[in-house]
Amino acid sequence: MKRPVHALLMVAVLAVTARGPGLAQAAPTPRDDAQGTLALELSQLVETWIHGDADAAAARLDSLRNDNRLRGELPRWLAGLRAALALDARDVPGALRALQPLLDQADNPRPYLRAAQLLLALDARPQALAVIRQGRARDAASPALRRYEAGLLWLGQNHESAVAAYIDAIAADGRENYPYVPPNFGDWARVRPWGAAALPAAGVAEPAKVSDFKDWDEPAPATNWQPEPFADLFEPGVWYGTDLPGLDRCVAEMAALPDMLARRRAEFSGLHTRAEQAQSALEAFRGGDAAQRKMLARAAVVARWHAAVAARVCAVADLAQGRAAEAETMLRMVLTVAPDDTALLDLHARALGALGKAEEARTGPLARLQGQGLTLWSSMLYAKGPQQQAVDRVLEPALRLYRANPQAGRQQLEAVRKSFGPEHLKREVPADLMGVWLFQKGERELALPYLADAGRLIGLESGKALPPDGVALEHALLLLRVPVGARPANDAPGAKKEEEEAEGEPEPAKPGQGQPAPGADESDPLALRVLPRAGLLVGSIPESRAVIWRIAEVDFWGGSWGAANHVRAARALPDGEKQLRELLYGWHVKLATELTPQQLDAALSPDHASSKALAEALKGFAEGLQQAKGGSNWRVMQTLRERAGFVMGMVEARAMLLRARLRREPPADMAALAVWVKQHAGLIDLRAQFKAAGNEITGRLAEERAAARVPEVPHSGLLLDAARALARNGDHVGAARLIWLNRDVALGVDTQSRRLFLAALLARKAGDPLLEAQCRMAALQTGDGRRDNTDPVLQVLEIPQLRAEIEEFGLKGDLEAYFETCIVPWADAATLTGALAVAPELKSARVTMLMRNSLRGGMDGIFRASIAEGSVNVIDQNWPKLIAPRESYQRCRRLALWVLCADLPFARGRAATIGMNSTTEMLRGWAMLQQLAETRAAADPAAKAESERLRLLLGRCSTPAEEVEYDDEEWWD
Amino acid sequence: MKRRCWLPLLCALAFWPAVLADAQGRIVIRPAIERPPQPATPGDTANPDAVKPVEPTPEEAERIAELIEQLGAPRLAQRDRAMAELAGFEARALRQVREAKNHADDEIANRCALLEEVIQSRQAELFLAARRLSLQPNELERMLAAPDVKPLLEILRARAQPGLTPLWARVLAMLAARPQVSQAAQLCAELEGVEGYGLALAEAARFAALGPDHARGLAALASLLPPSRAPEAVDALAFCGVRAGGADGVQEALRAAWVLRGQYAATDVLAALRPPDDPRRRLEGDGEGLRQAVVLCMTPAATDPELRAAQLPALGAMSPLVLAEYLGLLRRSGLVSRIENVLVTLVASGASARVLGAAGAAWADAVDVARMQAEFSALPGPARLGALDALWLNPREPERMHPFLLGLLRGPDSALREPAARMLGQYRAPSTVRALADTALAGGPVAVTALESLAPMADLLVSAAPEQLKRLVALLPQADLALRAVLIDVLVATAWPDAASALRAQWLEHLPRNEMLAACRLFSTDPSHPAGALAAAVNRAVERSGGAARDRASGAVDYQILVLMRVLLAAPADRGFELLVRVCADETSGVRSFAAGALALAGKDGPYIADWIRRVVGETPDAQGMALAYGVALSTSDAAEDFRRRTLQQGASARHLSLVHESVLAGRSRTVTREDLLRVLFDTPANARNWLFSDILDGPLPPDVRRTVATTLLFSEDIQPLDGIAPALVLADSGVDVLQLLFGDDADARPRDAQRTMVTALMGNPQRARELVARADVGADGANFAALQFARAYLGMVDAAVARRLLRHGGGQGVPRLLLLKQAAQGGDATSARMLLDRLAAGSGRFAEGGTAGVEIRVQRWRGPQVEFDGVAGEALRGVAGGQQVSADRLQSLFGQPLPPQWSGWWACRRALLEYDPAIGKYRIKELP
Repeated sequence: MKRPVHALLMVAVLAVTARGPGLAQAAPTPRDDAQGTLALELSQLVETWIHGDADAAAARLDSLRNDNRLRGELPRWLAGLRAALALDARDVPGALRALQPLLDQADNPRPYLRAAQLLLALDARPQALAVIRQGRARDAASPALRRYEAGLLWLGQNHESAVAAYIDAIAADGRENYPYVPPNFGDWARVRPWGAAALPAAGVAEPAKVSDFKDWDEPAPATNWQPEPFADLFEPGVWYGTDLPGLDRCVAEMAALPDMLARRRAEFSGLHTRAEQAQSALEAFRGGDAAQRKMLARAAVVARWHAAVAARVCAVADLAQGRAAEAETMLRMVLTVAPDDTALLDLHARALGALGKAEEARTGPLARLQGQGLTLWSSMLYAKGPQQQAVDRVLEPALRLYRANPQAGRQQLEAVRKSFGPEHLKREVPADLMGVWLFQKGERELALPYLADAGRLIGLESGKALPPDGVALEHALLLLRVPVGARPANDAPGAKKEEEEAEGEPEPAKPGQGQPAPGADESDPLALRVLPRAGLLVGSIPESRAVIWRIAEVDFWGGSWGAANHVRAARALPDGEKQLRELLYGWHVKLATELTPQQLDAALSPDHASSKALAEALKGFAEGLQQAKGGSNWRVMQTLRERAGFVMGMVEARAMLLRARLRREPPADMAALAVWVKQHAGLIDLRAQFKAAGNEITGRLAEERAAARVPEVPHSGLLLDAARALARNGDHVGAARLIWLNRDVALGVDTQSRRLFLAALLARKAGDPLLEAQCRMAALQTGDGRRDNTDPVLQVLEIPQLRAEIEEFGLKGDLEAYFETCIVPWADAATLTGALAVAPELKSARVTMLMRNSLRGGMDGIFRASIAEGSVNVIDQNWPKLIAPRESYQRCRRLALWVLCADLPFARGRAATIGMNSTTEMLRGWAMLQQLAETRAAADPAAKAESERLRLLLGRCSTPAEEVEYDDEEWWD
Repeated sequence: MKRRCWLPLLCALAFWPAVLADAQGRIVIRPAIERPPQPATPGDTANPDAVKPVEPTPEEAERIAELIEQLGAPRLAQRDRAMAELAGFEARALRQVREAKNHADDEIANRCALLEEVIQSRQAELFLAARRLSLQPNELERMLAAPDVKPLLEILRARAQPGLTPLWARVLAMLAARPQVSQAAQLCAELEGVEGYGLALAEAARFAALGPDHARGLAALASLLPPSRAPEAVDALAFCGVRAGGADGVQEALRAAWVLRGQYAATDVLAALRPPDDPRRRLEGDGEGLRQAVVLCMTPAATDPELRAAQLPALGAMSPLVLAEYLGLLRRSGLVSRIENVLVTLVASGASARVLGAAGAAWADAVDVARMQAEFSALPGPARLGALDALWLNPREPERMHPFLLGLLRGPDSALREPAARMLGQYRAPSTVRALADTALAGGPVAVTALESLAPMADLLVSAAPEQLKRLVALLPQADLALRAVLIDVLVATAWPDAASALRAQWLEHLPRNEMLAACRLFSTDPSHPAGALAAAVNRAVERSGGAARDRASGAVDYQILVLMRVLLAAPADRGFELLVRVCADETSGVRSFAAGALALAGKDGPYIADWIRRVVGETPDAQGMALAYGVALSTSDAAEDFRRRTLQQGASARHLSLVHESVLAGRSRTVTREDLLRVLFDTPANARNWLFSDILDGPLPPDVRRTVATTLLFSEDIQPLDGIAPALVLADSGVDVLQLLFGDDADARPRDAQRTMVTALMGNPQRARELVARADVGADGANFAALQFARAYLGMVDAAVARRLLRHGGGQGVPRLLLLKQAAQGGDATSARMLLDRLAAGSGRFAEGGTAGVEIRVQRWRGPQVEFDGVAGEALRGVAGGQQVSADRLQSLFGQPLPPQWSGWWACRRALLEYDPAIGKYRIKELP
């Protein structure tokens, strides 16, 4: 039987009363409810943090901090910001008071690490150490806390304690090869919270494995606890993997301190003996007492490491001072007690290398290091710093020997080559790496055969577009002026066959299958015979897919490594950067100088091998395009993609010749230019070659050109040359119109912004302000980077050319105007920094040149965007612009403190999934603070001191920026 | 996991009778299932989550023993009944059941082993429930998990009897995130009574597997159908808040408590402050604090003795959350002296800034302004800040506050000058302008804030502070970047010729990008010059896009405009116009539309307009021809007029109607009137759908258009009448009989869904609306349940106290809430009026209602970090542009004076001066000296 329904509920659900006409209830009003002020307080906090003075910001933070109405990241952020303010005011106890509640609530080491980072950055190292020790009191076994403690000790000049702490960490870990293990990139969210059960509670389902996830966008489910992710104050400074990068830096620093060095020298013998004794005691121990055995094992590790560290300190110092023999002796001795120590083996290889004992090094320490990951692969070429150490280590001994005994040295080089390469090459070191490294070391002769061999696989002779490694290779070959198809007399012995058979390597073009060779005749002068290499390199910069789309409206998958890849390669080569600039903007001048007019004409004649080869290549490509228009046959697309770079290279080579020819005989006027273009440039008029109809706009431009009797110039370099020639003949308006009406030019590496800016200068010179204005507007970059031939790297590279053009045709202030409208709006931090470095005269320019919004609005937007995105990317990318105005100092300081306290990733998107709070990002945050302080260093002693302190700190903790491995964009982005 | 564990056991138990029947009479009876080996130690010692034995009363122990013996009874039904009853004893039977596992009778021993597992699974009650519904447990489990809950509800309706609280708890918990939960709750209340319902709800909230969405759903349910006793309500809400997690969980619980406020007597609610005896009802960590906050929020008002009797936590032990609710309660209760005591106690005890700030805010809200002023200087800094925040948010007594703030601004306390400058921004008056200008001229850290506050009332400078204005102009050349930006805003807003000249001179020399939009505002007053014309075209586009154009416009266009503007400023007018013509002719130009607009605004489009029209309509091939449409829209030439007329004649399907629309909105059409256009755009509901969110609806509408708009909003498949505040306001003020439109003369009509139900209640004739709502039923999916409750409450069909609760619940935070605020405002409630305008104005993020905020960063392996904002964090921290872009016309009915089209800035400097004038039944703005 149902119970009677309660009357109250009845009215709520069912009852209908006829009481009272109209609206019985007034709408709910807030009369009895004070509107919550939290949103207002938060909003004002943001405003005060950015714009307010320190007292106001502190008051706002105090009024919200430790408030349990705030959840998630907010309490952490607020406490961090308050502590940062206190530290800025030198109120260290206040900072610690602000941080302490967070530490008390911590359930893993991360809050301690964050607090220490902040304290260290803001000049409170002792307190940072105290905080870390507080954390260690809660979790003595945490590897991260151990690392931080040791690091903070030696950063405070207490190297002895630091070494003891590091050795303690090694002894505690227990793994035989520790610390030579790859760092663990994990997730703090999966680290067992302090106080949680050691094992998952009984009955909890076995966690899903990573491979079980169906939706990769979904967050990973909670799983079993995982080890702490790697966290340290130091970036690795050595090529080998280590979990304690700070130890290597500490040792390096100790070696440079005379007291330390002397002490280690004095102690080494005793330490070595003690290590031997401890090892003997361990080995002599018999019986089942595990505790005793463990104690002996620990003692042996500790003694061994003390000896090893002493030996390393001495050896590093000896090697630096050229006393390799002494170093070698000591290392040999210590290796008897620590035979598998990677760092010692590495030093030993260095010492043997320095002594030229190549065989001994190869079969001794290098062979042992090979088992510990010493492998050479091509991209190490560009990786200055730690990565390149590995290459040096392997090849240096043989090179030393070569210099003393060429025959023996060659044999050693071959010997190391055969066994230190990657697995997929059956451990053979890639020929391009051998060649480029030797070239870097000034051994051109020795490098040549390796480079030539590599060229057949990944360079021009392969008949395909250049892969990234091929770019460096071709730059090297060009620097060496190696003609196409040349085979040096002294081929790298035994290398070729294995390379060709190597698994995974690109196959060279096979006769009959591939396209014709680039078309160099052996009777041609050298300049012509190396020209295809130059063309190929330049042709590999613009994205061929976009170029072909603009010309023929055929879309196929393909990409480009962009100019950045060339810059990286060029930096790795002697005179590489100089050659790159020449290649991009002056190769035609070189050709014009080196070749006679007859030679040029011969090379340009239709009968020349290169002309025939180009014509044939274009014909084949045009057929491919026609097929592609008919349908989406993937084989056709694939072929187009593979051939595009190669064909574009041939076109660029031809364009260089044409430019050289034009330079020799510049046209007197527009009519002469039209005749000249018609006579010579037909082969590179790809719209004609590909029988492309063009779109409405190109059609209309063609009509305008026809109406104005302006010829179509198919290549941007040629176009600029022609325009300058006309201008120099006094036809400024013709020159400006030539560029303006050819603004759809598809070939070449001269950016749209530079071309049209030059046109604007010429129009002004001609007294046509309207055309000038149109050109200036069109000069604004409107495309998406390198796809539209507006690569920011190219923009930076071409600044000297632009400056020269401004000097010739422009006025003072034009460079500033160009920067303001053509570079600043889209420049990220790296581009802007690079551009300003190339144009130091802009230091005195108006600071508003860099500003898009008002100081207040811009800062607000950037800060809030950072919160909304959960990343500090927007701050980082705008940092050079933000710190430029002197009025922004205080606001930028707040932004920098936010970066330190927020501990958000610097990257946006999926790249950020790896390791928030990574060492690199921490150091980037410190670097921002340092850069800011530097802007004021001249006027403010406190800022100067801070800048110096941070510079020193960064130097001790990080790999110098110029040595950091290049962070390549993904090519499809 | 627990479900996975117990389900096989229950299944086994369910099928056991058959197995036994087979075995009966033949051999020793054993269950036909393989049971896992028993753990060596009892589960409660190995597993901390295991059910612990509870000692039964002697009577219960006796009955349990009796039932254990019956497990070996000769008749199967008897054994089953005994087992079911034993399961009902749960933990109280555990010890005896365990002991009986070694019973000599194998049947008893085996059944006890199984029983122990059932009790450990905590599903014994469900097992019992299944029995009472004549279902197998696994069958019940399946039904509970099924997407279609109708069969389950039907079975419950047909078979359920009172006493199934645990089952209802489970049903409610599982359905909590689905609309059908309302029906289930209603059924539960019918069958179990209010007390049983309350218990079920509280139990559901404690359900361990409750996800955040479910917890939020349950919290809403608690506010919809209150349990009978306050403790259950408090329990349910606190548990829901904790289970939902984050700031939103807390917020949800407190909102539900607010809805229930007034439902219970203060003493009943306050009794729930006492920590519960039952350990299962206790919450860990912040949970008990949330319980206290819920109690205090739910308490309508209390007397001093009631509060003394309540077990309030000590002031020092109150978390900010609890303290905020406690102070709120004191304020509601009018216990000003108690608030003062709190403040004094906190000050005396050296409490932290956060607590003092909250107390200061509550005190300032509670006392009259004169009292606040008198004692303000005695407050500690954080309390002053809190007090000023409270008065910023809810300004009162402007005649008193204004001089007080002027005093603070001129006073010596630098910490108060900044907030005073900010607050004065709401007190538009000549004296305010003078004081702010003086502050700006004096320089220092408050100068920028003073200018920001001054900007919206800068027009007063010319008459009220001419000397300061001159000095501000003189300040321009040496102002640093931070001051300069806002100083320019002020000077542009004065429209003073000398200021304009000074700015023009500087910008002629060099126009930086960061000042371009300000320059556009200044130059746009003179479209006869090419730069002015371009500025006007840009300005209009910026204003039309709600001020967000800066963010949305592509960077290229921004900088191209800058280049163009610089050239135009430097060039003679004729060359400037020639350049604009060239830009218009350039298909590749990104600023072509602005150039065309500029020429049109300058009246220089005559020679080109015909060509532009041909390009726009495609007669002349032009890849970017539509870029010229802006020029055609703004042109007043005959050709453009003719084009508009021709377009209009083509009717609603005309391709370029948007162009005519733009012309009319811009006031550039001479022959096509707004009414002409409205009649075409809104000729049929199908066509009207495209224009429902257009500004063309601002202002009076012809009756037929109003009817079409109403019809479109009410009958469109894809547009809901209450989805956006702007069309909802048009509908509410349309004067159309919405009920006649919706239902005609159908005597059996009823609203078909939730939104129509709301519209019926809010916008229809009350008498008819009541009839319609009375006929309405809850739909099969239950989605209209809450709306129906709201409608009944709104129409006075339920008890006043219940109605108040249901209105609070049903009003929500969306459009209905804003409509309710508007109705209250029209009734003379100035606070409601201010809240409505704040929510519709720019920067509404700072007015977001709620007392918690949270930010969670979830790192997703493929997409990188994702930021999730809880509570008020999102709007307040991200700086959402704010405001729902409602034009002044749609709020005009509130005011006795005309509002400017861009009323948002207008409102910013008059927020504190809003006053209801009963004589005219409208609001006006107070004048201050």
